[in-house]
Amino acid sequence: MSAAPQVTLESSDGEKFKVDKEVAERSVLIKNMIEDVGESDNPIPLPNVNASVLKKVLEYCEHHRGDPLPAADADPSNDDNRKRATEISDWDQKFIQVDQEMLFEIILAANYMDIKPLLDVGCKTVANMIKGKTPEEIRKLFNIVNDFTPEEEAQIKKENEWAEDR
Amino acid sequence: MCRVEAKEAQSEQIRKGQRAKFGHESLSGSKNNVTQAWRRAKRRGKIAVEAKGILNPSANNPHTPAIASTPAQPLQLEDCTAILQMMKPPQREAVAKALSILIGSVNAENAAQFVFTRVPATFAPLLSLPDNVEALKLARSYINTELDAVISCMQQRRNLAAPIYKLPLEILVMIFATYAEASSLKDEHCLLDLSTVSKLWHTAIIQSSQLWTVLKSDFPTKIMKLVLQRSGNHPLSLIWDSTNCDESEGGESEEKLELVVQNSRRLKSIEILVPEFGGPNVRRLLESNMPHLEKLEVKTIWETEDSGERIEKFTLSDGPSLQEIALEIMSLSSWSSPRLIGLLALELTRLLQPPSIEELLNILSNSPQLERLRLYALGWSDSWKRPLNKSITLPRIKEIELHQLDGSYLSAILASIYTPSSSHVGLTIDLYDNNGPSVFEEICSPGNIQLAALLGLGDSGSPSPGVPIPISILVNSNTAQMSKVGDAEERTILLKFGEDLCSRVVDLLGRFFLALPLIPTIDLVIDTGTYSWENGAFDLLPWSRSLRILSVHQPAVCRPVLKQLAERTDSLTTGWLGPNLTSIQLCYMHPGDDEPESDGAAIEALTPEDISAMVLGKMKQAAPASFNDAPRALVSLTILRIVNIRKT
Repeated sequence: MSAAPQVTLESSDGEKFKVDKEVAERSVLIKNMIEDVGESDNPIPLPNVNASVLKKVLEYCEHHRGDPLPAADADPSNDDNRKRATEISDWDQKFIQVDQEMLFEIILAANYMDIKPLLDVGCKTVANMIKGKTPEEIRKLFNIVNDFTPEEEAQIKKENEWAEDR
Repeated sequence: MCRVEAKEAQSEQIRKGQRAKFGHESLSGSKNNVTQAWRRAKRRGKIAVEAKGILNPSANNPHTPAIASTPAQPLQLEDCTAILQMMKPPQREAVAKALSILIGSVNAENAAQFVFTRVPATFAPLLSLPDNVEALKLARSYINTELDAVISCMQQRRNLAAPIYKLPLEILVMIFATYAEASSLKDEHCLLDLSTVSKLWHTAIIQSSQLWTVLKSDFPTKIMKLVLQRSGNHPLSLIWDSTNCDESEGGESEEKLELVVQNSRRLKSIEILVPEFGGPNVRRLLESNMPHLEKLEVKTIWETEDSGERIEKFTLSDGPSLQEIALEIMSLSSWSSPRLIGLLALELTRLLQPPSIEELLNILSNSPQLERLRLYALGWSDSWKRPLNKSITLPRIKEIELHQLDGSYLSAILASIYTPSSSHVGLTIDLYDNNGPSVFEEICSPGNIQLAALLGLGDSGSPSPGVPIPISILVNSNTAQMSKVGDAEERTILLKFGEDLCSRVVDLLGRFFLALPLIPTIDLVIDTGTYSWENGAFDLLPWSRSLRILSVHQPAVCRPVLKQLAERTDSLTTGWLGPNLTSIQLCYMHPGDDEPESDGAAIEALTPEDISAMVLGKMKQAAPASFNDAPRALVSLTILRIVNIRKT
């Protein structure tokens, strides 16, 4: 039995990762690159993803290698998709338990590499972090400061309540 | 003048209070030297302003804060320069202009090279001039405004360092959309709070009209109006649950529904749960012009009291095809509406006026892209005459659920549709129904490819080449449930029947599978539950080539199995112990004294152990070490829970 075909990916900091093609092709970006360029021994450069993030992303792809790929034209507003809004599988939950810096890097990498299920997991995780919190608690959580001027704040309050006066 | 001054001071306090309330953080530490400088300067300016004496007649008032009588301190050149260097040109010019009013010596034309030619030690002389009071107030207002802008600008820059600010707006919007979908906040729109977190979030939320496309019955009227405005021209989704409408709302619910009716042309999706007596606005909504509507889900709840207008059916307005329609109780006036062509999903439940079988098959034949079909408990219709044989292939259907349907209706559907790609199947055949048994015999006729397709056995009833598909069949006292083993797909075919039909069901199913071109392997579980099964005898011979695991519960069923085991033949071709059978489990609890001898004899014939060893044992397990006469594939016979069996 012949070994599964493999490809080499190169992170922004020059580290190379040899992975099964099937795993790498969870990324639509890589899949398209392989299709465009054809099979090659040259590493596929990923200038926007560093080694530590790429390692995590590949861990995700490896775990989900056999999953059906999402349809390219999947409608995010689809009913079933909507009802599963914040559900995350146990493995994914454990996988995404990382510090904020890494979480947002994974989201960015998933976006760049076009791995929709991973992007969804990231977005759901952040949405779950926000859920049930006041604006002040959210600021504290994400280390954001209130950058509104008092006038702007008053204006927002007015905007949000404008309908009341109509 | 005194009142003016006091008001100024009060405004300042309110401003500070607001800033504290909204969570402005103090900027201190070495990184914020410029801000500190600005604040120091502002403090000095303020002191200078308030130290003017002439303008502060309350100086003699003992309640006046001590700061009012503090001598003015000079504004330091480096303070002002540092501040102005931090500012962008428009702000810089504005502050320079403000300072020029105060000091009268600022080169406002060239604010970038702002130089204090004369820095006064105190502003008091300037402020002593009554004509300058208004100018002073204006200047202070300028400075405060610009100060807020500078601080805001610095806070924005500080936010850039927050990890979440690395995310582009499009991803932030995705996160907000996910958050909004999962939010169950009542009386408020969850995004309103979120938009007050920071400027970036506010911008992302306000400018993304796609975040404002869901109208919910939970929203107060004002939020409904806000959503309608902020959604721009985006198509809208309506989620309306009358059970959530507070009765105390009174007319507000109707007012909100009226708002929806006014905007019905924008509706893309409707999911409503309305009372049986829904009121005029419900009908108006359902019958209004909805050219963009793609999904319609109308579920009705029964009401105990008659009030308002009972809506049994409604007329769909003309328009392009719907993609999904789900109706419960409330029906359509016409099932031949052009909007029912090309459906992707059809779900009909307990309709008062269901479509005739002809109408239903017309809808199905006009919807070759159908992916989901669910029919539950449709009422009786005289027009359910079986149409002439019609063959409708639904190649894309994944999910099919047919439950509690009249036998002839079900029979007509099953005889007409072919669903080779179904992966989730739920089918209930009620053999208590007059037509049930004949329907069942029909669909279980040997080798029926419709049933095979429903079970996921592939085209023409053949499994994929190679590995036969394992199917689990659980037959208990009045149901048989068939499902595929070991994959994520759910295929459950549930047969309901009387106990007296169980033998017939087992027999028919066995013959059905035996007649398939490539026989699947089957794990058969027969469990009568707590009921006795008087007509338990059945023939396992038809199962001989498909059985992988046989698991039998309850003695009334075990007995015929035991007897057949005892009379087993060694021939693989004629005996029911087929080549794939690897395990037999008999969960055997003796019911009493009826026929214990024959049971004991049968077990003894099977096991090399002395049966007397088991006589008094409770919950013992007999697992013969060898089963010499069995086909080679059989590796275990487990008899569980033998209680009080006497050796004859």
